[in-house]
Amino acid sequence: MRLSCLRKVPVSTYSSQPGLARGLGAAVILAVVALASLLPFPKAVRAYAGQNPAYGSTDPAVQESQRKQYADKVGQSYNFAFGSGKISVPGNGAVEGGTFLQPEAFPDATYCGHCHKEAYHQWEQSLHRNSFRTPFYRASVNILINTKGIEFSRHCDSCHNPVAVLAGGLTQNSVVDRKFDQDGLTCMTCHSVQRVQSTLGNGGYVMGVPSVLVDENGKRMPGIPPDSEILAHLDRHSKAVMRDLLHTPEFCAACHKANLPKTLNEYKEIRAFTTFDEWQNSKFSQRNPLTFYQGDFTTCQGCHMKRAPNLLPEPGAKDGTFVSHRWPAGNSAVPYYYGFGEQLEKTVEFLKTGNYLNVDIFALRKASDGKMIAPLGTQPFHLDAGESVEATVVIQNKNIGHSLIPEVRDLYEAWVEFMVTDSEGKEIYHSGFIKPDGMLDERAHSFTNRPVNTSGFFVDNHKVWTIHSVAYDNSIQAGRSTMVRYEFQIPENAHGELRVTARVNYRHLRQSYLNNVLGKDHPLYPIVQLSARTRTLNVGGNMPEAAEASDNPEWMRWNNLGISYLDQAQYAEAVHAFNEVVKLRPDYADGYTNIGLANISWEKFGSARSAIETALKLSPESARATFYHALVERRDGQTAAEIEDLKKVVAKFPQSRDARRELGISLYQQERLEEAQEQFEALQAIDPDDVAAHYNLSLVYRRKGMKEKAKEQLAFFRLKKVDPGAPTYSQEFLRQHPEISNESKLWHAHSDLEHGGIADATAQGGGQQ
Amino acid sequence: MTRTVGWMAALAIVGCVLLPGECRAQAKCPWLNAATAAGFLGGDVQVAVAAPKEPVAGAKSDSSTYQADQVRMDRFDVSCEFTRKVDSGSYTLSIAVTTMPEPAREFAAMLQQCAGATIPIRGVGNEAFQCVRASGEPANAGGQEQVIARVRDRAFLLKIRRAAAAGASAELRNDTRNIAEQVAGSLF
Repeated sequence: MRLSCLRKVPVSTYSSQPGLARGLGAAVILAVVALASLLPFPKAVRAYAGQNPAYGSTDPAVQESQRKQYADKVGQSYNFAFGSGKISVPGNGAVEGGTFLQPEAFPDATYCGHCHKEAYHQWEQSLHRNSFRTPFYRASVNILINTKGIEFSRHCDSCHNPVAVLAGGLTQNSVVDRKFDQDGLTCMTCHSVQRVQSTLGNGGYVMGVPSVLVDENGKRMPGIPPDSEILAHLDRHSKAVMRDLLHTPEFCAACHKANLPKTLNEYKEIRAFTTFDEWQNSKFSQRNPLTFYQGDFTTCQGCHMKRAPNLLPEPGAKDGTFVSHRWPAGNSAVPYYYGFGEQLEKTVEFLKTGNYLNVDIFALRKASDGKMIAPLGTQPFHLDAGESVEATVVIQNKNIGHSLIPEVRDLYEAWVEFMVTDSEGKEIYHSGFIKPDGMLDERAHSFTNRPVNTSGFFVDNHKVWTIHSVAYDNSIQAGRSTMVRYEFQIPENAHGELRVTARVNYRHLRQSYLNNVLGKDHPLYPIVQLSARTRTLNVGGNMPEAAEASDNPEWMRWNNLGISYLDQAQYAEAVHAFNEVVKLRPDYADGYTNIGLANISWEKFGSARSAIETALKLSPESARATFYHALVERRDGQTAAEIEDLKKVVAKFPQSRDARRELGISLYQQERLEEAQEQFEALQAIDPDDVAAHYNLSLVYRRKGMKEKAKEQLAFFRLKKVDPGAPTYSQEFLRQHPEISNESKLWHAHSDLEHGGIADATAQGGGQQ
Repeated sequence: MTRTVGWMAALAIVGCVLLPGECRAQAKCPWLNAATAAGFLGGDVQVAVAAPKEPVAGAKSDSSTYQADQVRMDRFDVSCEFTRKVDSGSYTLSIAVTTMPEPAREFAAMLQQCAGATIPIRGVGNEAFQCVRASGEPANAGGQEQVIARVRDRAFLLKIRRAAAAGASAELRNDTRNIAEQVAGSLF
């Protein structure tokens, strides 16, 4: 090795000691501790003061002094690139006291594990524990650190490694021992959060100084007492570490929502992922009147922290069950990498057993006549050898409380594999296969997105700070459906049965990212089948067949088709599908509302009104129908009725973003500024990122003479609104990638056929069937 | 003339001290910070950093964000040695990073540096091994530990000499594993 320089630099400040027990400072502290020990402290306090030399005192004055000295020391070399005192920007993490906190303030997870054996066992393999150290995270954040600077990584680590952020470890000349990195989100990060600042995400928590006991007055007592003290005061322990906030979705929102702030990308604020908002808009929140289906109230914790019998001693268990501290979700890569068999098994089990998706091979359309044969299984039909056929597959996000895929879509792979085989098992058509090098068929329909930079290049390696646009996003929102079309030709010599299979597969992570992180010599990471359906078709005559247990009822199949048409802006077809729903379920008010919604989208307000009024006759209290009724009334100039209807919806669903927004607009148009302000401020409280709230509040405030507030809201609006120039970058990406550019079209077919596609008889005025 | 040269020399020294230039940047170990090494070795440390003049051949270019005036030490095969002086001598933690044009062959050759057997460590880089002495006694006996690991086409040799921990066993001590993981994490 040729060396350019070899220097030895004394680093006297880097010490394994707490850094406080030195010189005059130490003398002062020792004096304070000595005096403090003479005071009439509660027994518990005196009993464990000084047990932990690094962070043992429970005297607030000593603690404050220790923290101040630590913060001063860290602050001397800390890069306050984003403003004086701003320790976590570009992230939002905050800590009580507002300054750096010693990492020793956070007890090691093994400390909690003395008693909470089940929790510790589960946590050890969980994604929260591994939030920082995994190569899949490090590879990405290292690029940020090495290209822009470590100070920018506070954006990511406000959630991935909050101890590092709050301890002041993310700076060029860090004096922080990073031994806590291995624990990621340790027990006392979540259990120390006192409140959330807002639902902005990016680490929108307020961390308290970790305390595992409160005193007899309920005051938190930072420090690390011996187990015996906790066991002697279990009620005080519980009060210190448990609070209602931990059971709320807002708690999860602190990190399961993220944006890319201007301080990070030096461009503008861009929404990154919005899992909390997606949940809030889903049927599981019961906060949104506009969902297509209804469901029982279920929080994030309801799915990801289910109770199960505990196998190890666990004081937190109730009636022999304990809430999961594995947080099973979609990440199979981390347990696979570390060899965490139990976590991997639970993850796969979670993904496969949730009835999250429904796959429906809904229809066939023959090239010979362009007519839709639908729903498959209910209609007789005939297929000929040599015929070109289009299959319509409808995939419903049935029971996920957020989109498929909710977060970092650029890194995951979920896609449709569609395969047709002949009677001898020979492949006739296959889309969504895995190639020998592990890469996914690039023409597969995948539920992903393609973020791009200013050169129109795909933003690889999750370099989110370079994102300027998104070429397309094919995720399926909660409760909605998407339609995927496949064209294939039945061979001339085909006979007997053809098997058609559609399945949704999932891989964590995208193969090209795995290659980037690990090199190409890594083993194939797990691919999990989330849902599938196979149908057998006969070359010749086909008769109706019994539905399978997992199939949706026929009306719901049509309803999902209608939803997918609606989302693909095919309004005539959507209206037709929803009409089929009400033929089968004339009592189903939402079927009529759906017809109304499709007509509103199509700007056929007369047709919309009659359908919605039918819905309201069937279900006069339907907030959903009332909301759309208000939109029709607005169009017809019935302002008083419009406002009245929207107020009814808000009264029933006070956290409905749509109702608040529309009511605010209606009131503003009537110059009822006070009332409009109330609605937009309520909307902003629900979603601090809502650009309509920013814009309209800027107008309301200005008209009320509140110039500063108007200016602030306008600035937020400009910061957060979509850059009108951004689509240019998307178009450049799509131009460079014709193999997947079809995926950006609302309507597209996957085909190996050479012709331009199978004609839709409906589009040519030929009717649906 | 002599006075002029003296002033120039003084200015150069002051400049080197005050300016956050390349010399100072190279005094930092890109794989592990000194505070973490100090925590591991149990006291204040000195750090020595050695880097070749040229970055790793074929290092990826992140031109979209790369600042031309930045020195990306992660692109160099930097070696670091942390030393803690103790009464009996010194404790050390050294990290030597190598880029391997032919990883399969060269990493196998690196493993030959282990005098005895190797024990695989899961979850550190692409692959990692603890060196075990021929007798079956772990390399950490007597306070010496050695880990050889690979991250894609780069390998590192982690050598540790410190006070022998009570109860050291054939299993790699957890904190040594964590140091290896920190280094691997920085190389990803």
